[in-house]
Amino acid sequence: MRTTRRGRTWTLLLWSAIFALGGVGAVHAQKDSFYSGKTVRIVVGFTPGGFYDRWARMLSRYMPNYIPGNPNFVVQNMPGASSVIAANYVYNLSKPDGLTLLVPINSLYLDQIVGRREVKFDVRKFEFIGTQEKAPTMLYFRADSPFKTLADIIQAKEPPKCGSTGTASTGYLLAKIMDEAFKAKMNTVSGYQGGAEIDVAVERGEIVCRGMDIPPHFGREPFDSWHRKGFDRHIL
Amino acid sequence: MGDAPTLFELMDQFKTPAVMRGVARVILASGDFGRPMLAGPGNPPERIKILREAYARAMRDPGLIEEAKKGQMDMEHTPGEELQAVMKELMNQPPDVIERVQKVLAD
Repeated sequence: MRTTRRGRTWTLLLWSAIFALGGVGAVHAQKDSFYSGKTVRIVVGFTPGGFYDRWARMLSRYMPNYIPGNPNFVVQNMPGASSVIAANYVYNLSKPDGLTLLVPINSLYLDQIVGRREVKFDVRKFEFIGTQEKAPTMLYFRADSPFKTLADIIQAKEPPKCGSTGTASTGYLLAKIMDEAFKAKMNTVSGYQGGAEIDVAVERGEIVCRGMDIPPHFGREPFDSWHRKGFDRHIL
Repeated sequence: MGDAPTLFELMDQFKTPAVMRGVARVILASGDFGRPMLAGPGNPPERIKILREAYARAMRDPGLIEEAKKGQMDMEHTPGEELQAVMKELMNQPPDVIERVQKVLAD
């Protein structure tokens, strides 16, 4: 009898232990599947069609496969003030429940540094999820222009004319830095609609240079043809 | 890039003052952030972890890589933790660098 009772007690304990473990497992499963049946929203600070938007949309199709519970993803475009409006919204108005993401301009921190009045966030308190590329800066010139080195730009009587799309563009900012750092003056011709228009203007000879991000300068036209023909020279 | 020096190598060569290097670093670092994805403050850390992991794994998905190639979308994944560290460094520049950045961007 005694032995049997003790045996029963052990059996009960064992079952309790199994249930307890099972319970722990269930809690884990619940925690992991927080995203199950939920919708994650990516707020993009630009209109549809540009690279910011295209990346957000592509990631919205692949990221759910790698999140336990496979949530639904939607992209919402909230353009305005170079994405400061979207950043203000996500920072101040979205619930901190892991269901809202933001794709803002990559120079958002500069808006904070210069103290733009619209800025209602501290960029250091955002949580970075990741990015898809690194884009260091380069400066190309037509190879047949008189500017072979940085020294040629510094000494030039007539500064070279370089194209830019506007005051937030890499080309514009690089020209400012070249002037401040080296006294290398470059005349920035602004107002081109996009990079491709600047490249065409360089081909026509209206301007001779462009500061730009490195990645798009390789593996595509017109640059591959330029490089084969020796049409451009990279000063940096 | 062939033999072209980087901007910072040129700054070594021309003995550019440290303040100006800091200015160039702060302004041009935006390129390091690519098309960044962020979450607001105060999100549960375990969900941030899940989202970072999903981002990293999506970037290794052969389907995404193929689509990016077709769309001529350049790829070089940087994890969120790394971007967080870069941002901290950029926002902790000495006041003379920050003032000069403000001046350069204001003109």
